[in-house]
Amino acid sequence: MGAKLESVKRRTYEIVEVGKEGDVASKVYDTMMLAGVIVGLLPMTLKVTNQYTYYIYSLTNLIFLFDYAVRVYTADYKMGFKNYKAYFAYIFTPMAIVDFLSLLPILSSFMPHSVTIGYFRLLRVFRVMQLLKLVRYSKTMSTIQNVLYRVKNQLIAVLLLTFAYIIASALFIFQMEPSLFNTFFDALYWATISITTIGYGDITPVTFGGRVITMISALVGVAVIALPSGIITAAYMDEIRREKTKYEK
Amino acid sequence: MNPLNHNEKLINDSGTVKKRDITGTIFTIVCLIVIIALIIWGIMLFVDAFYI
Repeated sequence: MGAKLESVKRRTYEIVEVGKEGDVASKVYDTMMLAGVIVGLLPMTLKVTNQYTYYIYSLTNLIFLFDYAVRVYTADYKMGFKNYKAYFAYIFTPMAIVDFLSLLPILSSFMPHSVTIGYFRLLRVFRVMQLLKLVRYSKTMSTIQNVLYRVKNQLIAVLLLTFAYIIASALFIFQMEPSLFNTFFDALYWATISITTIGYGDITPVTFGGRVITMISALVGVAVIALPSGIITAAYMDEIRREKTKYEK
Repeated sequence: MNPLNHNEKLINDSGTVKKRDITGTIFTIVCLIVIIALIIWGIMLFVDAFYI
């Protein structure tokens, strides 16, 4: 009995993982997950809700709940060691976190309507996380995932530099143009819009000092915003070269 | 990994042992039903929203 259950578990693991060539059940399961993600997001594109919204949400919630439960249940095969630690290790992997976050909208369906119109409405936004499930089914997307993971330290450094610059320029402009900004948040908003070179123009500096800071922000923005693209591109080329070498060996 | 690795053993005409994949069959049938339901409801969602 135990051996039979174990073989069912192993087979279930093979099915829920990305399908191998010739494994029809696994391919059909992958197709169902893709259909679930795509159809599950369709109601979000409409303003109206009808009975089909409810049907689609219920079914996709059920699919994703089942998928998460099965993936956790078969985590020992995924992680490669037969131990209770495998389950804990699995639930903290990036894909398992994505799966868990995309389950959060289920909570809102259990709550009374009076509660869900408040902040809990935000839970529904997590439905968008379902899109990240698609990463699992694309080899190219997993390459990008590897690339981002490899250059994460450089990206964090650039992000911290950008934050530091935004705060510094917001502080400067907030002191230079006190009449222009009601709160420091407005200054932060202005600094972010300037450094990213978006420049809506809803808040424009009028003093000489303010304009100088704006000019510097615009120039720094061009450099800072270009940095992550360069880092990612270089790492991506490196990854492709590495995969090519691995393939040729 | 052999996808057909469990459940009942069958011996086919050539005499080789093959196993019946009951788990896979159940998954395939249920998944196909779910896919069809999703497609129909997805279409009906828009039909209901725009044409009725």
